[in-house]
Amino acid sequence: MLQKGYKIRILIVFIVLFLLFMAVEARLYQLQISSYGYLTRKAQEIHVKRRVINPFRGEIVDRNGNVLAVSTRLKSLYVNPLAIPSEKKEELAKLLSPVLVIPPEKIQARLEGKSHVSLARKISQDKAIQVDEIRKNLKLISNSLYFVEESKRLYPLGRTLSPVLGYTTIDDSGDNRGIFGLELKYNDWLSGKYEKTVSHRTALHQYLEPIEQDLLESTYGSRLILTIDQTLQYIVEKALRSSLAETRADSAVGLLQDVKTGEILALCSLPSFDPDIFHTYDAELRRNRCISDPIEPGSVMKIFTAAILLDTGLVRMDEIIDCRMGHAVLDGRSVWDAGGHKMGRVPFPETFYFSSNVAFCSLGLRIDPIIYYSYLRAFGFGQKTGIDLPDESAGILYPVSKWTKYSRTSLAMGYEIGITPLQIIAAISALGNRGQRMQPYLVREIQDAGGHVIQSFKPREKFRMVSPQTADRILGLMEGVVVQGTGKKAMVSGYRIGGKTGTTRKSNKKDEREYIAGFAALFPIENPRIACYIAIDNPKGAYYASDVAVPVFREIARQTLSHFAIPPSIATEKMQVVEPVETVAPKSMVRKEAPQVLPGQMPDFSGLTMKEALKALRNYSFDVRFVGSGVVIDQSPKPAAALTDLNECVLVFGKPGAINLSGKEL
Amino acid sequence: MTSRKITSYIEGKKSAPGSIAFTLKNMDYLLLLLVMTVTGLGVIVIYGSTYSIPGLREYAWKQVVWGGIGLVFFLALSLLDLSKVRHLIWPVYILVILSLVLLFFMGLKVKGARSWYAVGTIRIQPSEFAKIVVIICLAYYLSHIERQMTRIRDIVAPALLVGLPSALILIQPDFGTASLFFPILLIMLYIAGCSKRLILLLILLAVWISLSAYPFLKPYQKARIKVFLNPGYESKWHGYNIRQAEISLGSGGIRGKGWKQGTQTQLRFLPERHTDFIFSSLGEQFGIVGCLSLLFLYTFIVLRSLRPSITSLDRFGQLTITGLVACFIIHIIFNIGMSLRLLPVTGLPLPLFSYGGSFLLTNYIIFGIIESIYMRKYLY
Repeated sequence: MLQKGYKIRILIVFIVLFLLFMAVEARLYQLQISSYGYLTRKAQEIHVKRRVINPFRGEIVDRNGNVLAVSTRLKSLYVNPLAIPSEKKEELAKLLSPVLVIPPEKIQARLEGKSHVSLARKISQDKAIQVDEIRKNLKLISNSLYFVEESKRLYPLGRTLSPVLGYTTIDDSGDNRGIFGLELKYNDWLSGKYEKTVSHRTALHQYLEPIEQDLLESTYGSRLILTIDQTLQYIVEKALRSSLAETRADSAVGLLQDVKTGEILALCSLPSFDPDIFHTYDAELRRNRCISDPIEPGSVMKIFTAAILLDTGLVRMDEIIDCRMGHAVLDGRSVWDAGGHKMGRVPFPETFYFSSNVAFCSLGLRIDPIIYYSYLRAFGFGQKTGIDLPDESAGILYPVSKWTKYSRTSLAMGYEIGITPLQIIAAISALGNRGQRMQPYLVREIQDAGGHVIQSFKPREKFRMVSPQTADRILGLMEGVVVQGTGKKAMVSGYRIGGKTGTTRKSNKKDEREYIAGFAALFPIENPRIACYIAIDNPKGAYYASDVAVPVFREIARQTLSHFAIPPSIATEKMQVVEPVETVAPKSMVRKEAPQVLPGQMPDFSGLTMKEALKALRNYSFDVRFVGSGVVIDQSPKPAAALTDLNECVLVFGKPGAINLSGKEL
Repeated sequence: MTSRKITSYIEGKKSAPGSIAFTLKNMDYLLLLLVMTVTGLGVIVIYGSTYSIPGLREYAWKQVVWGGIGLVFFLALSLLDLSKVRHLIWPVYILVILSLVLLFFMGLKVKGARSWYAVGTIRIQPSEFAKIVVIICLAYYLSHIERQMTRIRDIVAPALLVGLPSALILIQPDFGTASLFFPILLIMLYIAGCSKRLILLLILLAVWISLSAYPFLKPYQKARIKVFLNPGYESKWHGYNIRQAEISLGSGGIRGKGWKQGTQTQLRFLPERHTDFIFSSLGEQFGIVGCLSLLFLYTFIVLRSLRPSITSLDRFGQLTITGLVACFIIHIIFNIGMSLRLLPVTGLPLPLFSYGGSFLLTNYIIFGIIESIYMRKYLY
């Protein structure tokens, strides 16, 4: 009986099982034929993603190709809260907190959201590895915590030149929005652009196809080549810094300009700021005083007063002027000569050499106000120079209608007018260029990432200031100031230098005696190449320009002459040989090969130039701080030190040969 | 033809049932060919879904090696005359139970379950072999029952026989493998002549146990059931896999995207692409044509295997074959049903097709036993 029903039972069981097979087939039909289109679209949506390639900000280099600002790629940590099981969130926040230095509650708040958010921007390589380990230990899938590369802006020179270069803030692609200085002015050039491409993306958030090189390059921003010479900038900055330390002055400015082309070679405004942490400085400290702060130039103005007088023929070079022993009442105003100089009747040049207020005020009264005003406009005062920097001030020059009876005498001595240091140096340069004004500028060339020139800026002539003859005469007057007048301390043996001192009493403070010590100069005076203007605001103690500003200028001039290897003008027996400038590295001493690298160890950077060191540092995640210029003479940590937990390394630059082999820590 | 075989054996005694010559002569080569074809197709799909993924690349080759080992076992078991050693099944059963118990002390923990012994670099899963042994034991026990089972106490012994290893596997925990035992028990009891009333009772009992066990399930298991019952429910984790499996299969369409061209697989959206979800990978690469071909091959294998169970006169042989085939087909239904969201996710592989050494070996042993019974069907 059992055996009889057996076959039927088998049949029933397997019919039931085959019915299940039929269900499978029906479902297959539903999925693969009915829903084919829908599911194929779904698959496309998952697999093919629009990929955004972040722009990469271009670098800024000086006229010799030294890097002044450069971007590197760092990792930013993002989180996809939906990919993290809720029971693991608290633990994850607790583990991440010490690594990212963010309180755990704050991390957890981000983990509770629904969309992808950034947890920490621009973290170091070590930290990225730690985060990855935490993720693996918690057994989280790889797209729950992931990294996106973002750029970080580095300024190898630190505070040097920061008011000119400016700084950037973070946008979607990292540090890529210039908000001050050249970074702002040339932001559209530097920032590069976003590119989009379509690529297959894996479940692990990896793109399958590599980005085409052409597309990648089109995201790169342009490269700015400045007129600035890093070495000169360093020379000026160093001289001004030591003066600031010595005189305890509030601030100082210094500029060097190429007389023939109008190129700005150095532009220094102190105190400056560290661009890495610019936000910690007051806006007051961040501004570029050279272009945004008009000052009363004081006796430096006498250069321009003399130029007007000579150009209009209101004074002859050999005219005898009565300086009235240092005191006179002119148009109801009492005028004193500074420094107790008591001169009587002297030829016109001597009134200039010794900066007689009495003589210049009386001469100033000879000039018709309208002519006076139009000359001052022609010198570029009261209007922007048009330099390629944002926030330039036009200075202050009142129209003739607002002039008082004191105005002409005040203007002759450099008061009742506000001129920015840049306007002063631009006008001085014009005198050095035989009266022809040149447009001052900071960017020589814009190149694409491959080094091809996109735009090149040539020297541009502006209108003529004075006749060549007048300009030549002024040069003679300026040389006299250095040879026998108030600028004697500016003398660099072997060279002919012209200049003019100016000690401004800051008029807005009645009860306090505050001064600005300024000095404007051209050298070598027989055929001027470089114009220089420096001003030291509110020095404590000695305040005369001849004591405060002139020695600073001498130091700058001495090193600048050496930097350009300008041959001496005068061959004297006792002529001192100008010592080589410490900051310039002879090419033969510069090490060319990249440093030997052992994994996990600090490489040896000694002998590398700044550019080479930067190149070698590309493989490391820590921040780097550069001190000085020249070639690397010391570093911290020392070569071969372990790299664990390193956040910053310091490279000290200096004269080659001074390499610190002693192993003494910095 | 039948009579010629019998006479050749009785008269000539040229080849005894245990000899290699006998085996080679009487083997069902078509069944062997079908089994090897499915394995070969499996290797192709495994390679097509893993070749681009580092660490998985050598899996297709490993599967070939396991297939070779499986073939040796297949032939060895074809040689064995099961009827002569059937009384040894009890000691083997005890050995299997012991190995399942020892697993808790010596087992290798993989993905939270102690299901494996590690012997050098090879991993062995005793629950795979337990399936076969339990089926043979049950067949042996039921073959001695002469009358219809109508009382509850008639099925207590078979239930314990199956329940003990099933419970041991359940607490490893390997829910998928453990859940296989009950349908096998049910089918074998029914075929052995159990009354419909008892079968219904068993089904109700099973439903009651599963419902009352639901609160004790692990969260991931609950989520799997929720995903199954409510297609809209997609928790952060558990909806993902099945969703990806559906997209893989559906986007394959009629003819598929082509071998090695499965984007879901290559971009790693499809999980367990060479094991549990290999059917989705097949569907993506070869479309509905590939899927139906595989189903056809499986049907052919099942029918071919069942043939001796109809013709065999020996109850032990009949029950063994039906049990083994039921085990084979339940695996297929559980796996494909899971891929198609017809059943909850259980994590059972696809027989002869999915990557996995122990599992492939088990299947070759199953068909080796079926061959052995087939060849000796007139001798029982």
